[in-house]
Amino acid sequence: MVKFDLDITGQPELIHSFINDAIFKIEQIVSISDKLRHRIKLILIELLTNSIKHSLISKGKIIVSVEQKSIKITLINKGTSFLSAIGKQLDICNIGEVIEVFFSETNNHHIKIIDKNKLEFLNPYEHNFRTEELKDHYGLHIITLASNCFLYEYDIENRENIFIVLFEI
Amino acid sequence: MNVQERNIDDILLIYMQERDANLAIADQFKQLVLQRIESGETKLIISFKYVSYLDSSFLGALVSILKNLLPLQGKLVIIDLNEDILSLFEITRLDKVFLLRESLEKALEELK
Repeated sequence: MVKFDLDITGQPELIHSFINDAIFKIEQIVSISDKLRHRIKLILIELLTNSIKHSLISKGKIIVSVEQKSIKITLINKGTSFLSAIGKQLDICNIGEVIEVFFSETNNHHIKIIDKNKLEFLNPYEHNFRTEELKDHYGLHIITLASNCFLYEYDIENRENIFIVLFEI
Repeated sequence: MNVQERNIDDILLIYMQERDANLAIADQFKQLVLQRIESGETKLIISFKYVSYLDSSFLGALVSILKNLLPLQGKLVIIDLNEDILSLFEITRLDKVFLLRESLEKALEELK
């Protein structure tokens, strides 16, 4: 396994060069198809954009782990829990349960509760879940659709939001 | 924000001339186009010829523009998408919602 990390900038205008840098580094380690390259780019764009939009401090880190058959991208940034946006909707849920949550009226997602501070976003098309086509926000939806697995966890002790995206090569 | 506009008959053609169609300009672009719609423009072509990437914020802006056009029986055609941006539309299935065409000529045919 090869790992590298990149410090995130809070400046949208630098996202482009950051992503090119990340793709270059990935391709130094493993050969990826055009389709996978497009998807990795889409996800990096959204992870960074969401990080800028929602973090108290627009700094963080992206860690990319590359193995023979998979790539894992982890975004870590400090701030209040991302789950506070849907907190009340999770109050009565059980571990292992799959529920539909709404970040806004048209921004619905289906998630699987892994534990109190960890969940998995589920691909609505793979599971035949209803999804609003004309959303007002697409960030999380794009990451879910473009990856093989998308997880979120809040580290209470360090006050860190951790987003994990997995790709099969 | 760098945008160029011109009219071809009753069609408004808008060229997005920023490399990055992103969070920083999404709202500004949306407001610009909504103002044009309010002024009576209901046939729009938006070209992304100069754009390298487009993020979810900008996608949301395009959806908002489309939602404003629909009640007016307006039409929006998007052209000149590179592979990355086309991939975004395909993954989100918005390629079935938006009219995407390969060229200005095909877009004009769609609107005439």
